[in-house]
Amino acid sequence: MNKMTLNLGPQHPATHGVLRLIIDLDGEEVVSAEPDIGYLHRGMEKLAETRNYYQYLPMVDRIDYLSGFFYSYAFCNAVEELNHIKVPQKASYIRIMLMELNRISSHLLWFGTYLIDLGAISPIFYAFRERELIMDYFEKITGQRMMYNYFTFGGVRHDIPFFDDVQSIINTIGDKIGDYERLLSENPIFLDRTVNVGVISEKKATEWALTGPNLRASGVLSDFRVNMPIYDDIDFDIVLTNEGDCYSRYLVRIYEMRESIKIIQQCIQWLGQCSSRDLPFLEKVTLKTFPNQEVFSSVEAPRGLSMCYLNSIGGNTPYRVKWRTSSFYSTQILKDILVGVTVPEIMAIYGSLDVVLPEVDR
Amino acid sequence: MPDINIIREHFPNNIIEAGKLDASFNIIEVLSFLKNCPELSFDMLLSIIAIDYIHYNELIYCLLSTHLNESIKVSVKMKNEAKSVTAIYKSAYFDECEIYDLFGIKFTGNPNLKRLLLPQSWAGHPLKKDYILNDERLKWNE
Amino acid sequence: MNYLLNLFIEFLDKHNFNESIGIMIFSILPFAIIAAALVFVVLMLVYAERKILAYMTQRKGPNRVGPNGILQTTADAIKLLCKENIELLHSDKVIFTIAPILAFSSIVVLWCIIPYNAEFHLIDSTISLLFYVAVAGFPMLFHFLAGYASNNKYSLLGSYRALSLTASYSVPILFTLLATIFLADSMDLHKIIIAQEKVWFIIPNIIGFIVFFIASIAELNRCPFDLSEAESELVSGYHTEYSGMRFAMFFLGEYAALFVTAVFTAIIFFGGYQPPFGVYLSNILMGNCRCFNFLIYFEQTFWLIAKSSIIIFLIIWIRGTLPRLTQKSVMNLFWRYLTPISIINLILIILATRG
Repeated sequence: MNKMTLNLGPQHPATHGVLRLIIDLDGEEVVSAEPDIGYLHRGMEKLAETRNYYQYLPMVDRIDYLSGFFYSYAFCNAVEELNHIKVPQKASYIRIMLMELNRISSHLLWFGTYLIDLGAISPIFYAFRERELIMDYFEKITGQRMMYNYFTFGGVRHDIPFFDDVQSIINTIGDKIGDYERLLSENPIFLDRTVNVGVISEKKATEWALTGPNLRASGVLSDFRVNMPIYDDIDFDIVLTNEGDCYSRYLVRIYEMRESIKIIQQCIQWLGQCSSRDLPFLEKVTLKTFPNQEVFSSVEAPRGLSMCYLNSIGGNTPYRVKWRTSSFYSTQILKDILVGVTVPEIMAIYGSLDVVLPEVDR
Repeated sequence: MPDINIIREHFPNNIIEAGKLDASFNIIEVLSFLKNCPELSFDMLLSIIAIDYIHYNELIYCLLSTHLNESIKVSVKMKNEAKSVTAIYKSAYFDECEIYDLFGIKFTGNPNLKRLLLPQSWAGHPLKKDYILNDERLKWNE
Repeated sequence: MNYLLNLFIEFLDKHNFNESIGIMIFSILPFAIIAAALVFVVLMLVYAERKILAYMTQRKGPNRVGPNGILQTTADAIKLLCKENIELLHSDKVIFTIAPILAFSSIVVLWCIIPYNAEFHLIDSTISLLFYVAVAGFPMLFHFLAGYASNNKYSLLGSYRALSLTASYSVPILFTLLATIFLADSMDLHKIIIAQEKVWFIIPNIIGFIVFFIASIAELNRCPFDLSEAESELVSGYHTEYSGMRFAMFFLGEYAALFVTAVFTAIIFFGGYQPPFGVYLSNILMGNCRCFNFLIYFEQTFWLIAKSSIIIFLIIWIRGTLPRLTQKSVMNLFWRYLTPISIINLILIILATRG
């Protein structure tokens, strides 16, 4: 058998960042695939050891720039648990609303880039048009389109003056998601490329520690939002499919966007009720020294479960910060599921796993 | 919280301190039991966390049970060598390679232990406490 | 053309010039006109595609260079001319250099047999349809050679996909055109157009039209069949290693082929240069004035270009909408569905016309 080694190198239009896949091909079929990561390693964990908590907080947004609010929340939650700070309820609802908007924008970006990997050149522009609505709103609230630096220990930095236009944003996005489904969910070419491609069974998904939409598409009921206390009063459904192929991962994310819209609707209602009363949005704290303790803080990010481990031995800098990110494990499973597929299917499978390289390399 | 009594029955010598199950001497048996026992069924290894306390290292295994929605942390204290759990949980491979890369802890039994995030030719293990970048500029936040 | 030639020879005789000059000029003039038209049309097509795709994706397309961006392609061509030709160290130098040139020229040849109106064509042949079938598949061969000669694994992947595509689409096209030959009783493109005076061939041959349309999009290597230059997998496929004017040759050759395919679809299925319902606008406008008879020829060319423009728009529209097919599905589509359908279509038409 004559093998050809192909280097889907760090520079490639479709690897969504700098991932290197060393693939051995026999004709068009993959014999072995090995991911080579580390091109975007920025030393996020080591940097925490020489900065105090307030200095590290803006850096946390950049671990995954597409879902900055989630990592910010994980770190703020860790510090709040460590110091027994109680966050006011209004701040919790603001956090949930912004996180769910961020989830929608991250899924929209995934949708656009996945389809341009498959060859359809129009949906990416439509997805980015919707993302602009969300990013304009973020800019109004936080002053930034991407690296928000808005959550802080004890709540959020400023009060949100506008949340009425969120209603029009989610109305527009709800309609457009229906448009995308009409364009693609029954398209024979799209179905041909994604149905029964890259099937990950339930056992394999839990063995390789997949989380988030990748896991739920394989039929495993696991959503960390049910364990987060701030989601206790919010009513939402968990989206599950059984097949575990690329098409079900696509469906799970499309329906998750709809569930996020439901959650945001409930947040707007609650915030609208309390807008006449002047509720606090920030519990002012001054953190001088920390107890000698460690804490695990998890959040359900768009790509899966993200966990922050924070260990302090007193003093005002952390002793150890560890980030558990879900794309790290999505890259690991490539070694297993890419064996025996053809070259076009590599792109379909890799795109459907929603791997973002800054999360992998930190 | 998962039913700790089952664990206490099976492993009376392992103590639970500060919310973590200490399994420094019999990690493989503990993890196999936690994975295969039907009442506990911790089928997912979320992450392996390594911490460098200067005289010893600690590894924390974060396990999750997707059926029962429970989680547990198992901790191992050792010097520089550890046993690999890739035979029990396949997802440990990348974690162990990364810990070897950044901390220098060697895992016996790992199929292919190599550096992951740093280039293969890198000398030193950055996340160890004695890999301090001796720099004047780092003293500014004291 | 003959009328003009005679006029010119009379003019030369009056002024005592040798009449062979007139014959020489009138031999070269049509080719010069077509060459100029080719350059112009290809540049316009690139601009049209960019603008149409832009409006379909909520953008504006080129709108800075020239009025409404018309000169954008000219600017791009000039830029590509000024770029460095990157020479590869380990490529097959002869094939690497020749492949783009031949890929472009083999399409230009097809522009010579198109009947632009009842009188104007460059090469008169009774088997022009067969010529089209034979030559239209040439560029694929040169795409394969280009990918092979580049000594690059991505190009190789792209180029051998192109070969499998060539084998697949040729058969349905052949059977569809056989059906047309039976309907028109001739292989000459002029006679095919004249045979469509009463009813255009799309009505009896509707299945053939669908098969031919799909197969010709595959022949053009366009989305959804652009698997040999799939950008997201193969970083440009067979023309990864080409830069500057050689890349421009491939690029312009693709658009020249697009125009030729659209014109042939118009000729074979939509009546060519004949107007709808057989009503010539110049007859209506000019009445029976003898001196304006030659306007009919311009009008025929106009109708041909109009029909092919609609087909070009359809092809660009499809590119903007559909994702890409994989090699397995393409082979599946052509060999399991389109080939049997085109054979059945041929049998039905033979029975209808002869039986």
